[in-house]
Amino acid sequence: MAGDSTKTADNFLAGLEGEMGGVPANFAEFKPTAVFVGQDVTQELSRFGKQVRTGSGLHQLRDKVVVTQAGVLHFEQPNIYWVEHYDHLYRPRLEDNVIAVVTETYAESYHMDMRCGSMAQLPTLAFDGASKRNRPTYKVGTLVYARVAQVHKDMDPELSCMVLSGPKKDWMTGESLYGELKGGYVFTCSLGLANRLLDERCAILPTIASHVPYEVAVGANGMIWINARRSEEIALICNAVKACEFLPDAQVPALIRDLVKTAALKPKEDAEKGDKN
Amino acid sequence: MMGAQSDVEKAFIRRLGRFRGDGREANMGRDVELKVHRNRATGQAQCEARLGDTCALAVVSASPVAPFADRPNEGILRVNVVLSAMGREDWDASQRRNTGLEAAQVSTLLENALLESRTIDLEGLCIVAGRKVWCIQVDVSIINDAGNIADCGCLAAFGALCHYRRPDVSVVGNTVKIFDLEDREPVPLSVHHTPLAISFALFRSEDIDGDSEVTKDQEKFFLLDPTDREELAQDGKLTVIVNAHREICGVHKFGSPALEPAQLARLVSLAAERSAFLCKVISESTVSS
Repeated sequence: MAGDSTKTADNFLAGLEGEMGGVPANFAEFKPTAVFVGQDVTQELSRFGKQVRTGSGLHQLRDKVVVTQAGVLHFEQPNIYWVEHYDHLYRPRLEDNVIAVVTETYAESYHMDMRCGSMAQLPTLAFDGASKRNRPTYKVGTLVYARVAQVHKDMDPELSCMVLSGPKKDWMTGESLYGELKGGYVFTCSLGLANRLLDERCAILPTIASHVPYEVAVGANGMIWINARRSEEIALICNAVKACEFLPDAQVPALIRDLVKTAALKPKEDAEKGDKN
Repeated sequence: MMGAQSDVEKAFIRRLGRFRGDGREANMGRDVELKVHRNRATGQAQCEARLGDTCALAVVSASPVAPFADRPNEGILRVNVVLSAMGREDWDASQRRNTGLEAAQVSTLLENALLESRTIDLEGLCIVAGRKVWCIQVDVSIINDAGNIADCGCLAAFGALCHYRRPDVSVVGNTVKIFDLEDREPVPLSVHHTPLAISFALFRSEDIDGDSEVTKDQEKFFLLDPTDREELAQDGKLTVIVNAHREICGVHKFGSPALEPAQLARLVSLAAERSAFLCKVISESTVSS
């Protein structure tokens, strides 16, 4: 049965590719290029086929596509194009995982700050297994990992801590995917860095993990939460992540190795003291 | 730069204590950068000061005006602080009240440093006693707030004042002639000394988690030149206005904790060292250009 379904899926994909005029074999030829606001990239986009999907930073004007954000034009199979740009203001997008801070509490909802220009709402019942009687109570200043559940241009975005798909854990167990982040440190970074960290091919987080064990939560809104055994380690990891922002993946391991080495130069008694805590 | 600070972040900054997230020691300031520029057409001098990511721009201009009636032979020095939404997200027109308070704090500090410390020879700005004097206007705008805007604004203001050259004047009988900048070399202001604001974020650390070895000295700690995140977590703030000759021109303190005389003396002497260093930066960058 399983074999059959994979075959069907393969056929389906092949059919799709056929509709789009076949996937050319020269995808490797695409190199991310720097583009500027107002640049006409119609030629670039139609190299591998006439039908394309445009992501952020690209805008269609009748029969041509122009760039609306200066940055680097990226391409993903089969026909997706977008511009990665340096930005700090988050624009909420449905199903993004974000980190937000409780700024006000009300009976029905929490008001959250997630660096998006307006505050976001988190209903007090939007937790797996929460009821009117049994629900988490957050104070002002609580750090919460949540997903964007509703976005509308005339309304404040709404967050939720309920898992949409995948294994669900009751909020009471403390093992649910979303919810309060305790301990550690949170810092803000550019949206570009957050997106890069969220990409599983990115080398930064795995390289750090090979030196120091730690926990991390990356919010698409440019907030990163990190927890490790000792404060010094947390500070080291935060600085390593920030320092890697403008480095290509190939240079990341060398930089992180250097940082870890410098941090280890601290007096030994200092390190032992930290371990006890 | 941005609003809400979570408990997690606040607790971490306190837990790190004297080890700071950016690798600085408690008594280390951020990198300083001064850029000065003089406009040949308008005669204005400007100075862009950077403390790490914090950035302030000061513009100095002068115009001949009638003096105050009670001080007929003294020039006028005016300080104006502008906080726009460019500096920080919540310095917005919609939150005017909040912005006004912070702007007032910064301008109080700057007035303390510039006016009350008698840094500029105001009598030297007199053209004709009782009739015409120079009015020196210092406009300080905070371009980016990454913490410690008072120090940065003060640095920018002095950088611009030291770099400024006013047009030369000649008085023949009753006529005052102000020379064009091309016709006659403009003259620098006589700046007696440069008292700079040096700020510390103060912390009470009694809620440090379960370490019995905390001695009395460690109960409080301070951080020189705090970032915006450290400022959000701080319990209080101490700003010392001090010049390169270790002369104190003002002390401002907000919030807790109470400082003992010895601690205050230590902070003041640290501030004096930092001030001497910054004064050197000012004189180097204004001379070289």
